[in-house]
Amino acid sequence: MTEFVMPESNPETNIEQGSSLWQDAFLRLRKNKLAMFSLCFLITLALISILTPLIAPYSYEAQNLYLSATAPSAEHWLGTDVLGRDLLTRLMYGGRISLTVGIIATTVALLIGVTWGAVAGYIGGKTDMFMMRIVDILYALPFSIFIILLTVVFGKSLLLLFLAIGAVEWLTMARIIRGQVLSLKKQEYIEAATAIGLSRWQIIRRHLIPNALGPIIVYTTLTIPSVILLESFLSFLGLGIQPPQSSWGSLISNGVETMEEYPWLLIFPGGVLSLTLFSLNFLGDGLRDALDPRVSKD
Amino acid sequence: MIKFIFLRVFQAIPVLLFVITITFVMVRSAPGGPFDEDRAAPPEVIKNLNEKYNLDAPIYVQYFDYLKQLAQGDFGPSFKYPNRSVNEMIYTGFPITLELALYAMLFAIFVGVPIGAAAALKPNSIQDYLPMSVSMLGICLPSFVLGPVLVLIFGIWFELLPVSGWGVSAGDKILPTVTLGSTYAAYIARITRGGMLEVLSMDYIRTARAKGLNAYNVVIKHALRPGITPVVTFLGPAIAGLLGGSFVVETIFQIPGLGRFYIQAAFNRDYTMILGTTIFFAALILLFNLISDVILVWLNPKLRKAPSN
Amino acid sequence: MSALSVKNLTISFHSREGRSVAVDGISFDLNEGEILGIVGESGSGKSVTCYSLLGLIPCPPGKIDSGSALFQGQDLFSLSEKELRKVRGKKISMIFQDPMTSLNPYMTIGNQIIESICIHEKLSKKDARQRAIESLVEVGINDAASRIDSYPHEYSGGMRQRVMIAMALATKPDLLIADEPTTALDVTIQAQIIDLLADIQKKHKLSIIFITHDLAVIHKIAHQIIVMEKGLIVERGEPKSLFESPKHPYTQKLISAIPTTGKQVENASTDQFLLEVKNLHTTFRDSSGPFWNRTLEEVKAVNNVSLALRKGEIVGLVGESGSGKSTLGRSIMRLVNAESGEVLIEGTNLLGLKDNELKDARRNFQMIFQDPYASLNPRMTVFDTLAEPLLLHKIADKNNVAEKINILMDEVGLDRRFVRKYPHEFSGGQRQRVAIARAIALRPKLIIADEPVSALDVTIQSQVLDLLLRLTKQYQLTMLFISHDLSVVRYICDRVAVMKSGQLVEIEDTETLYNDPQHPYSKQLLSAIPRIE
Repeated sequence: MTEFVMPESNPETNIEQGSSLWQDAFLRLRKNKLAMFSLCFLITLALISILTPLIAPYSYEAQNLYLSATAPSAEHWLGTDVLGRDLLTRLMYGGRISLTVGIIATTVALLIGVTWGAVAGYIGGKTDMFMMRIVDILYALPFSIFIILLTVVFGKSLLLLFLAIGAVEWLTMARIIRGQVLSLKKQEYIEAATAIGLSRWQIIRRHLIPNALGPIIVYTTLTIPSVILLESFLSFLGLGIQPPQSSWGSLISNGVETMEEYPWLLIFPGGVLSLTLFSLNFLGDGLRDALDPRVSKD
Repeated sequence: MIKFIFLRVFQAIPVLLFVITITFVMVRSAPGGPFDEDRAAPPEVIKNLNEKYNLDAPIYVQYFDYLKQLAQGDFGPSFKYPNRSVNEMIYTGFPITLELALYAMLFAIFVGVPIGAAAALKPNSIQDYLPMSVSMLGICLPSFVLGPVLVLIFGIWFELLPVSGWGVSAGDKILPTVTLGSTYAAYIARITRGGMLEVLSMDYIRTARAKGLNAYNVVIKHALRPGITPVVTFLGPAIAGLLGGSFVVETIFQIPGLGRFYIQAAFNRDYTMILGTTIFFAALILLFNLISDVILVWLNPKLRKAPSN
Repeated sequence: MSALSVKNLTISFHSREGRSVAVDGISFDLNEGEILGIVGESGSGKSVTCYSLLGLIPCPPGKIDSGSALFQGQDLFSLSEKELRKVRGKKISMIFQDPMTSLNPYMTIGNQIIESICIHEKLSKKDARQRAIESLVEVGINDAASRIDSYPHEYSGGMRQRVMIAMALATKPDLLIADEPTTALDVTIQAQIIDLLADIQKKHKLSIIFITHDLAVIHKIAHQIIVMEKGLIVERGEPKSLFESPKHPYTQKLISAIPTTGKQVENASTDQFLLEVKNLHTTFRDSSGPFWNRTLEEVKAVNNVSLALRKGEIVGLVGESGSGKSTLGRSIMRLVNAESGEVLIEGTNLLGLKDNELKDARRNFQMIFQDPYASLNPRMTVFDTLAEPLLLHKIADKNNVAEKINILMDEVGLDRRFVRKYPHEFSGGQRQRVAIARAIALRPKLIIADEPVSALDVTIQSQVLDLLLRLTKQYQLTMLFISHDLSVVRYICDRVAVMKSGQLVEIEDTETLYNDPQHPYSKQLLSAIPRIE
């Protein structure tokens, strides 16, 4: 944020370095073991997903009926499914899809939500009332039903899934950002910035955004898991990813069918999905605690 | 109050119309008609069917016809099962879905609120951490994972509870209710904790303690009502989520509810059924939102129009 | 006979950073039927002491390490929670600082008082209600019978504090603890509440502990005063002797920080006007109420105000909350849009300026805000905060900005080494100094100071006021000093304007106004100032 260059050394005085709220927050986050563990887990997961085509032990679609539903073993660490496909490989590819959906849909939600909420909050008045009324109305709609409807009408395309989920999740984002902007707008330092003579845009860029960033980051972290969950929900119902591609939801759905005989086909995908959701939620919670000004040293 | 309810209902009408229009346009603009997949059907049969269902008329005519039908409470016939009407299917499926959703909601409230309140009473103690960690688990364990796991444990390994059906054998309502409700119980517990923590730090709680009230009465008489306000706000969206979630639970436990009909309709491209059910659900959710708003106003004297002055 | 005898009380708070002692081995006595004033600034331990008597400090993190509190033959600290509950509200009642938040907004006034009575006495609902009405009448709510079923939000601030007092008295306690009961109130209301407390004390022979940060408020009614600093009692005595011959340096500092005399008028100011406000109107249109019953309200926050400030003059603008004084300041600053009128600075009408002209003109007038916690961007260092105006208006460039900032730091009395620190690392007084540095960075001609010291402790207040005085003199600044605190205004201002309901009712030289106010409202306002004779 510092835009002004400070002379490298000042011979007269030795300057005490302050610690910014970000640095404080990071220190607090580092103390939160669960959140740090979650962060490590998520980074590992992301790396694996990126490298999947290189490191996956088997092909995700090649079937081998001789190996139908074998239990975990040295060759197939997590066993194989009914069609003899390696479960670990399918989980890795499924993770790619689930995470991609999570990130892209969240980005869509972020873009719409932040713009909508910031504009409504900053302009205020009648515009604000009108824009938020729309959000209220959309809130009242049965969205899981709508998404099912969308997939039925427009076919089961991945792109559509991204857009549809993103288009649902932006509502909460918009509300949160609007609330932030509204409370920030009343802060005296915004008035002080106006009094100095900064233009609207300069105020938004230098004072509003840096201060609204914390909640945005937190909420983004918390949106990703709900998006992943929504995708899994659709895939579970058979309305999301289509075979032979896999997502965590579809793997769980397959696992449920055979859970009595081959429980690992349910337990591993279910476990990975739950662990991921867990990590994202814990990280989000940890970030919220770390960024909350009320716990900052005072 | 009556004025408020009246106004809210009045406001819901354009929303519902909006839903109807969007759904209608979407369904009608979908590629492929419902009868395309019936390989055996010769062109004349399709033509006849189209005529029967008035699919050849311009879309706006169809739209207004459909609105007229709706106004009379008629959702029209099912495309897939020509002998059954959508009304019939809603009539058979909906009571089951509603029962499931209400049980799940009650379960969520009666488990979530006390746990959240207890956690808020002793923050950062074991009484807080334990239920909050479990509730996080509840949020992160989707119903389509939790349901099968519960079935596996209680139905198959211990053989304690029936694994499917609804109202057929004794105790078969327990697992679906818990499966559907536990996520929301977890949410409600966390929301209650947050709300209560905020209220408990208020000055008027200190006043109540200084009066000599015991801890129990401080919570019940002073903290609970404002503390559960955010929970009531959450009830509207929760009902929407519960109805959506019921699709999964009905699939897992093979419950003949509306959700399963809807999924089947989605696979079969049974357009009138999809259209009808979506509109029905939308109306229902609007109704529940209205109820939650009314409770909110009733809870808060500042929103209620005061009798004096 | 002592009503309460506290001996050797030590209270500490335990946190991750370690143990901090809030109250350090203090002892004091409260005589029966007397008022004991406990005076101290924030963090002195005065509130913690009183809350501990009723077991109202959260434990953990708080801990009563040692001490006893003898009350009617019992040691309050050795009582169990259950026994203590019989004392709370029944024998010892409390009233709190902010009546707005201390009453439950979800319950009617009546039910809250009735509840208080019924916890301790077996009375029928009807009798309890009757008692509640009586105590409301006693505190001056005359139409109590008809207003008892109202909710707190339907009462005004002063009325709410009366309700709190009624609630505390309804159980006929022997001891009343009042924690800053007038701090959140306007000055005229404050005077009424203090009179009320004094009356009630006499009538019921009540013993009262009165906690306050404001020596002036307490000295008229207290029988004994103890002064606390950092957990210790530094001085005690009767008000008269305490004021006439304070012994401890801290007490001396507190007393000298109360601005009693007016400013030495130096006729430095010329007859030339720097700021002229002519017929200014600012109206807020606010839609209030729930959306199904919305009413559009027009509040004339500033209603036809004309005002002129001479060069080098400090003019006070006083009034109670809601009088429109802040809005007037902000309208001049063009932070809110005035509806009509003129604001002339050296002949240029600010209200007529276009955006780019306004930006350059802003060099000439700057503002200091009330809350030093909210007026600095928490994510910018002091350096960035001060560099922003300097670079924006090209007063400095990248090469000499550090030097200019160092000079500013010196001017406001901040250590140069702190430029890289963030606002949350400073105390309230230091933050206000940063805010002042930002305001004078542009070398403005006019400064509008909106309650610049009211968020600060008394001793810090006087330091900041002296800084402001020095700077105005040094740079020939003209200042509009907005405040609700009449003694502060008297200390710093050459002239004073009184505002009420959006209108200017009187403007006069400070001493003339304070000695001989003309307008009835000015009279009322000035007579309400707590004075030390």
